[in-house]
Amino acid sequence: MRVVIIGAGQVGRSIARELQRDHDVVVIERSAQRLALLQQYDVLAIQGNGASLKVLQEAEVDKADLVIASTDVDEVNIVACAGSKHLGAAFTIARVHDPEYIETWERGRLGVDFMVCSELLTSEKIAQLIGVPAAHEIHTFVEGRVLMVELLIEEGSPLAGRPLRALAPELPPGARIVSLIRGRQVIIPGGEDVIRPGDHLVGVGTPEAIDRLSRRASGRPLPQSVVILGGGRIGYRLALTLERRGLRPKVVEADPERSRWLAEQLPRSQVFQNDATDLDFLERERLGECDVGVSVMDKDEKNLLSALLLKSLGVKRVIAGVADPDYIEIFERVGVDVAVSARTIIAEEILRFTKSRIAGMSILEGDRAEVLELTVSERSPLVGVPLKEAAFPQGAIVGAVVRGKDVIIPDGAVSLRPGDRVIVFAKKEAVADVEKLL
Amino acid sequence: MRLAVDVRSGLHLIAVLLPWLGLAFLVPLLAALLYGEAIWPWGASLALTVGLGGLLRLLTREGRELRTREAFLVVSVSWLVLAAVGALPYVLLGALRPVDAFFESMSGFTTTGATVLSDLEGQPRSLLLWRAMSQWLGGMGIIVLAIAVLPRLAVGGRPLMEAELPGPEVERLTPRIRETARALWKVYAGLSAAELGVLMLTGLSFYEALTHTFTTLSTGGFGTRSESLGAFSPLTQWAVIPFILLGGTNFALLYRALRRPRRLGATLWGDEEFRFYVAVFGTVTLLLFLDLVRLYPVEEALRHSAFQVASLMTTTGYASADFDEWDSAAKLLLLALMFLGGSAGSTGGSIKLVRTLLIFKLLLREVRRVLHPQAVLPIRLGSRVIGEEALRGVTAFAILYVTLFALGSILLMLDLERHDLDVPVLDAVSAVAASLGNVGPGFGLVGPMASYAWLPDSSKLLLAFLMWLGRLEIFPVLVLLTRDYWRG
Repeated sequence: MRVVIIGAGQVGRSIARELQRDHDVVVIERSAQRLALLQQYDVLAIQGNGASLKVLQEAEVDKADLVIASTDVDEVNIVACAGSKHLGAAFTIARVHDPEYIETWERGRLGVDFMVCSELLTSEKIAQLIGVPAAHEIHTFVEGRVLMVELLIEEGSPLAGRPLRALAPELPPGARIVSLIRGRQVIIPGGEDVIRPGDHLVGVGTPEAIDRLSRRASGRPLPQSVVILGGGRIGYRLALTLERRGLRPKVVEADPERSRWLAEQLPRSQVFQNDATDLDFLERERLGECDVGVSVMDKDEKNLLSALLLKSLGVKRVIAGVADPDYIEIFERVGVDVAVSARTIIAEEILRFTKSRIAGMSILEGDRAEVLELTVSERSPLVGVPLKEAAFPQGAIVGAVVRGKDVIIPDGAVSLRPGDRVIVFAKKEAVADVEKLL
Repeated sequence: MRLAVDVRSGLHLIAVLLPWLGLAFLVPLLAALLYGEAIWPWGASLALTVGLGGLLRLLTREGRELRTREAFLVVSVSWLVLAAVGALPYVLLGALRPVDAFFESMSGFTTTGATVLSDLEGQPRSLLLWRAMSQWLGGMGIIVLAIAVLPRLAVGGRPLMEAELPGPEVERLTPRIRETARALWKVYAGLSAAELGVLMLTGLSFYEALTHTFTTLSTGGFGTRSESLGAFSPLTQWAVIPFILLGGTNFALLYRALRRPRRLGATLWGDEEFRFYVAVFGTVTLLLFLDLVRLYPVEEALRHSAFQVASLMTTTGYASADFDEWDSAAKLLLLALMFLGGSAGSTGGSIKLVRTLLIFKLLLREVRRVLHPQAVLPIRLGSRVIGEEALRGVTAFAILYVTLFALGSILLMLDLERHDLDVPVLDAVSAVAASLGNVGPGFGLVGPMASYAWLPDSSKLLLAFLMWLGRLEIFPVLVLLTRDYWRG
């Protein structure tokens, strides 16, 4: 596969390092200094602006299977992707800092096939560490009325170790488990199948039901109180996620204008305008009594200092953000429980995605299964037959049926009607059969 | 010296307004024809008003664009001119002396309801109709003033009261004043028609139903009987309560709610000021009921407490019973209500509920700030954050209002002493609160069954001035009194 990477910062370099062994990698970078760091890898380095058409042509993006734009400038990444797409690149990935671009992209595509936001991913990762179940992958169907999630079942999850038949009454109505992914194996589960820790559970249902399913699957209880030091993009997004889970996080931000903005945007959080390393303040507001402390300011040193300060005041678990991935180990050695690097997370996400990429359909662990959204035709032999009696292909399962305004999570007694929109989870080998049948 | 204000083009607008007011005299004229009463005073009033308008038009010219400065002038002066012109029939019919007529007319157009007319039953029906109609017209003016004009002039934290937008799906109230006015008047007229029908169903004659409709939705309070609403059946009194409450509701909110009738309740309940309105009404009614139940049978106690709370809170000023005979606790409660006023964007006067609500929130914030000095605590109305600038305006308004109330009380007491009139403090204070808040009746000598007729002329003019000041939310008038306004 031919991969073009635009921007050779830490993210670009670590992706290049991972992909160079199995793929043809081209790297475009403006700075000669950064390019020099690439000499140790087997990549073709081109100096220039990745948003310029000439440079993109020189890199032959038209022959590229994948273009990854990961410079520090969001707009450059988007323009680079749009340009590459125009020249004929098969698939483009843009990395952005500002989560608002994700919203723009979801509407406008912009020539970007996949957009990843490091701040969003990092706040999701921290939320996950705190105990908020974060879905591995979420896909929406039928204008967002049906969701599909892939959840990692952790050790201690209340769903683990029990057969589905016994679990069924405890699951939220409106959601259905359509598959378990165990290593390389995709299982369409029956009542006797048991969920094991380490499995990826695939669920389909209404957004509310999926939310409840995610919470049910998470073994960890939510902490009662969380303090977030630093109200930048990560801190803000994290507070937002926690608010949605019914928590009332405390947010400390030094900048007066930003803290006012945060207080306005986060009605359920308590926002303080103060320096996070002000010991008097931390003691006065008794922030040491919080269950979890997160320090995500823009200076690594400050994050370390304040995280340790919180720890010394009695916070049980402290999580610190670091810009430089090399610091992760140092942070954790001196007492920070978990150090999180946005650059590492974004590089991992891009690699994970790169390794299992198919456009236009949901991908579950490589190419072994697909989720299809189909409309039932009048000629389908399945029409009018209860699903349990219908000759539905082995290795496929109906996750949800959308009929007019209703979302139906089918049991065996439901029969399909023409015009129904169905969400079908199918193993690779069953896809063709399902499409034929409906 | 050159004035910074374009007085001539400001007055031109008033000149345009006058002929329309003149046309309004046609209604009492028609009534006079119908009831066989004197017609000529109405014809004369009409001619004088139109003539005055024409004269003013000749003396002024149309300005290119109305700036904020001229808007203050137009708003303030127009109410003054309305009151003066509206006083004509009282004088021409020989019912009142000029000062009294001006007081009565000002009380009408500011929807106050304080009266100097005695022996209402003996007055010409056409005059009582005009008196009620002046309140209805005043109410129309106030709705537009409150929703379309004052927000632009940033009066007393006003921009915050612009139609609240609970969600993106709700369209903004039409942006231009003319269209906004038309939309709101539709609601006003529609509700008026509804009340007219309901009142007639409860047994009122067309004439009495109409006059009381005119003065309910405008939260005015003029009537046709000396005992106010006490002269009517309990059924009528119950039927009037919801319309009084509607008059105290934000008309922009009503407009939005009525546009989507299926979500009517949700729209109303989604408005924090409305929830506060309902909560205050419910709580105070209950308090008053517990007090009155020792005086009246249960139904009557409940009716009088709900009626009187609605009436005084929205600054209407109707009385279902002589509340002046109630105990001091009840009277003090009613006096406090006079300071709440209706919702912003309603025809009610006084401080307005939304300001009171915000001031509560401000005080609560100060308490929380003592505990958490570094906490950032924005103040919200519904889901909307209210800017500190607007909050400052709200605070300033409330302080100014209370200051004017205190000053007015002292001035009134001094004036009464000057005329050797020994008036109880509560009576004098209630007269000032009822005038400044556009409520109408107070207690004792100015109680619901009494009148303001006995006051010396100077006191009447003082109270009329306070009505004017209160109706226009103080600032537009006060601005006119500064040097900066005229000099620029």
